[in-house]
Amino acid sequence: MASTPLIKEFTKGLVSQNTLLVLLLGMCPALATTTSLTNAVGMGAAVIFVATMSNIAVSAIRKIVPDEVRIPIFVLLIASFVTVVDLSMKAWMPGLSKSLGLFIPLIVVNCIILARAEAFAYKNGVIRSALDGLGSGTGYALGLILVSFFRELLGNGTLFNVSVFGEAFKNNAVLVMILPPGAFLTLGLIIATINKIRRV
Amino acid sequence: MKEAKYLIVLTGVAVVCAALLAYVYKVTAGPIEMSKNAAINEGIQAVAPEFDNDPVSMMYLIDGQDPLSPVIYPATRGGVVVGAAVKTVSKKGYAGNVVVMVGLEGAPDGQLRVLSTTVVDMKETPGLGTKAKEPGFAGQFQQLSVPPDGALFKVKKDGGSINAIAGATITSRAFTECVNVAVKAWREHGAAALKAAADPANAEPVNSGADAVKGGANG
Repeated sequence: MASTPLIKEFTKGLVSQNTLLVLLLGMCPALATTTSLTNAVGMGAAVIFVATMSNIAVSAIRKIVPDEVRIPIFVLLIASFVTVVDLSMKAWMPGLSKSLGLFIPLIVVNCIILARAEAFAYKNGVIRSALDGLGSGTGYALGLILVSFFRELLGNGTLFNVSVFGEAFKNNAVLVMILPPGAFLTLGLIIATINKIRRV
Repeated sequence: MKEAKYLIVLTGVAVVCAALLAYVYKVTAGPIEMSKNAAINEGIQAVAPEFDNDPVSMMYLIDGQDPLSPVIYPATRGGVVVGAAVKTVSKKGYAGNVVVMVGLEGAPDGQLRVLSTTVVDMKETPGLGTKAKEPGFAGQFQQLSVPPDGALFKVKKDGGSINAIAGATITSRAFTECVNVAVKAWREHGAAALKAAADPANAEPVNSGADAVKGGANG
């Protein structure tokens, strides 16, 4: 592990081990928060922050944490960072906080964060762990943005709430894309495309 | 000895986390409260008839025990009652409660008109139920005369005249219910609200009202 170049720890999370599109982790919030680009960016930023901070914290205290109590400690740290994000969003971005609703608090039980803490940060140094958290969080955010791009564009005719195809399209948009089945369709097609490209 | 280490490490981490959260809570408590109040104030400004009083200070809660009961913000101009903004909650939303601020023009016992509406809070499906905020649907509740016989507004599916949002009938019904509840609240409790505002000494305890409004905004 220690011999891989530092930058790899960051980039592996973006493409080859993309948490959402390759490892297929964190699917539930990915289905729920990709109805608009704004939501996806907000959710992605929250995951990046929590993944990076919890990786740093776990890595920093890994030598004094006994194996037997590591999981409660991880959860405690993750929950704290998530609460920080949740309260900050409520205070300074009330609109975004309202539309993301429960999915910010639910980052606590997001498997990506706990998996990175357990599988990586607990065994590696602070800088490597920070890059790993940043990379897997960014990869997840990019996945969300990709999915929400298609869903908002086709389902609502807008990007970041700005009309793209004009009012006529907006009133007759492909409704199913905004609904949960649209999330499955979009995600499935994107993953299929990625698999196709990777095999070639 | 090992157990002691567990205890010390766990306690240590918990204390640090608690301190961090206490600090963040303290910093954010003010802005969170302000953004909630701002949302209410903006809502009143947007829907009520032109007024020169402070509707928030005249706030009247119909049932102090029930945080979801309608809240009346009377609007007066030059001391004359011109209408009210009524915040109502419908539990029949597709995802949680739908909270709507309804602007009414007219005295409680006179001819009433729904001036305008604005959504204070909803968690409906984005792009679908949230279309209730857009003119296509909400525009139907503008300058809308209230039937004097007490008939309720209904969506077309229920035999009324309101066009429901395609694919979001539940949201449309919840929204329509909010308007009906607001009209009823102003009709039946408007006089009491104005009396309470004119004579604060005999008014309902304001504290329970203020707390209940907070609860309503959260719900």
